[in-house]
Amino acid sequence: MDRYLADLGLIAPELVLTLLSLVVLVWDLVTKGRDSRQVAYLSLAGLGVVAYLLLGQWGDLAATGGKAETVAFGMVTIDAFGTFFKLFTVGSLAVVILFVLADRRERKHGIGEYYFLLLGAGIGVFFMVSTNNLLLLMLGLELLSLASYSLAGFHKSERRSAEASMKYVIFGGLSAGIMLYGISLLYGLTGTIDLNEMGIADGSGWPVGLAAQFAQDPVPVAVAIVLILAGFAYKVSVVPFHFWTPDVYEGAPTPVTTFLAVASKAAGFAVLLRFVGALFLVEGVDSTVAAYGERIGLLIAILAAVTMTLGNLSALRQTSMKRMLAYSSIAHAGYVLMGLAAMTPAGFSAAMFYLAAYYFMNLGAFGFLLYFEGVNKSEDIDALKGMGWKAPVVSIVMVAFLVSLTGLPPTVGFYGKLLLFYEGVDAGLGWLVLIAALNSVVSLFYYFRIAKALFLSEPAEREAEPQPFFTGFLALLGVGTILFGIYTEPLQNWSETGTDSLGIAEASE
Amino acid sequence: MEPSSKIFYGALSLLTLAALGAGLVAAGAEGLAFGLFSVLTLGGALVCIWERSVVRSAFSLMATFLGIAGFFVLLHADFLAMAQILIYVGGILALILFGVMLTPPDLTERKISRVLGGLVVFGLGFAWVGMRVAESATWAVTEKGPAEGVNNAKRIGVGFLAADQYVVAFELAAVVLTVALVAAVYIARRRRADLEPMEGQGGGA
Repeated sequence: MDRYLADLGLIAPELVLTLLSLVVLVWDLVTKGRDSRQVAYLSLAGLGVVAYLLLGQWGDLAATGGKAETVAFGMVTIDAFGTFFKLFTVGSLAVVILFVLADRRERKHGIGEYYFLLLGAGIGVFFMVSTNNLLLLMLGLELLSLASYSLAGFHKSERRSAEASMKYVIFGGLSAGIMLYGISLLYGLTGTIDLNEMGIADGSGWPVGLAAQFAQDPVPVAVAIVLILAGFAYKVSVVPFHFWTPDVYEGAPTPVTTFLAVASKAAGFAVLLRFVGALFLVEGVDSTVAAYGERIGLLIAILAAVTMTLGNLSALRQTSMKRMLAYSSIAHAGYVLMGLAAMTPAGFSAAMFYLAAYYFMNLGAFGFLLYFEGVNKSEDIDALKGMGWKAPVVSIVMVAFLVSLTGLPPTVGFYGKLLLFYEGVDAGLGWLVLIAALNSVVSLFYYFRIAKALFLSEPAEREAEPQPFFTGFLALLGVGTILFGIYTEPLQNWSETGTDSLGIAEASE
Repeated sequence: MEPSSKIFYGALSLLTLAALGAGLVAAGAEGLAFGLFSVLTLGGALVCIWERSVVRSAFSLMATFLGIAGFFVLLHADFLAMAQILIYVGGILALILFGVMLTPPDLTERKISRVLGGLVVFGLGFAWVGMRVAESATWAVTEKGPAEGVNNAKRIGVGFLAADQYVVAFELAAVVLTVALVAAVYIARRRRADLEPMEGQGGGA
């Protein structure tokens, strides 16, 4: 019984988040949705409690170097890696809820489900980033997906929102099916759904594990793993599974787009890192398996190159800022994959650092988009012309986000990219780093089209009525983007602690 | 019946006979059963996407669900077989039919030909990979196999609720269903406020 209570304590953040979502639902029912802002404040307060619990957990884990691996209820792995992503998820959920509050095109009553579904997606993320068990992973992923499908179509009277939801459901269902097929093959071949056991088992006993299967005939295992990777690639919109991204991001309400582009994508990456790490790189992994891991690394490197190039080149041609940011998020997925392709602990922590940077700069950029949607009633970059002089603070902050997205100093995006490039070269992926560097130059053109529209045109005729609360909030994100770019140490320490907890072995040569 | 449907059902019947025959020759009675369930599963799915009427599609799905239940029986998974019939045939299918009855039928146009080429290529590729895997895979099988007199339902019940097995997944599935239900109700309900255009709504932030 003591063990049971202790395990409940370990998953306290998840429990509180689940409880919060139910309270939100009931509250909305009881008040008949008269004022949905109350529901939003309640959600924010609850997220504060969750963040407090997570910080406590982080403190405990960091004290042991992040290595103390605890498994609650035989399924939920509590480690620094998962807590890192959970903290950022809570942060971005709070930001997204603030965005909904600030969205001038959104109704102010009768939208309690909005918050419930966002929190539900958060629960999914929480479980999927903190498990080595493929069953729980799939359930978490499906929870996130189901909530996202309906959120994408939240403005159901708008044609493109409904269309976005429909496209997302169909492609999402297909990719989930493909991934489940891969998982069932992997289970049938290895005899376990626990990633740790799969990687380590040497095939002499039960479960059979990957090593024995790779030694016998690599094709079935490889097929299974590639199918699962395809499912993840869909979630983080890696080419060639990216085609849904622009349409869904464009059609979904902007706060939802923010959630999809930031929290959902980063969670997908977290799962991808854990999956590849646990199967191929973990301490004590069989040498046959590690050898195949290198091939998977090469495959990921090629996907990374294609993804960033295609994302950037497509972003160049966009006239809608929302669509442009969608393609830019595809390009960024390519950059993050670089850290994964390195297949080293340092590469993984560089990817984690970049994801942390990605939270800041993309939350900011989408916030800016939302701000000007409210002002201009349009997403076109042309509509921004001369608005920089009318809303100077937001626009200057946006320039900081753009600098960071391009990867120029003194921002967090710059340092993240620097780390990724460094680790890429270190892992012998010089060609990939070269492609990434060229891509960054390309991205300069489209990011600075926004800056140019804002400041290098005649001041616009229209006035932007001040929104001090929203402006201040975006400025805060901007300060974070620059501050973490100058003082990189804390973020770097956190990502290293997170990677340490995955138990990845140092490169063997 | 249109000519294209005649060809479709003719080919389906021939394939059915071929599958049953092949099963019988290869593995006797069990092979025959396997062939029958395969035909039910695949044939049901094919008819489901071929037929224009949603009601017919729904009924042909029943064949697919029953075929899968049959596979569970062949695999000694008695509990799963019964649950499959109970939930899918009894529950989901009834829901689909209710859904069909309550929605205006406007799905008369079939646009399958546009994507047919892609579907066939994709399907053949997938089938090829599947066969390659099936012929070379060594499945991880326990030595014991399904023992006599094991109560599957009991084992599943214990697995779901024991603290060190699947209790978290079981509870999370409940959360998944709650979220799905709320999402479905939101999407389906017709309240005037939801259908108003979003532009110019609400006050300042």
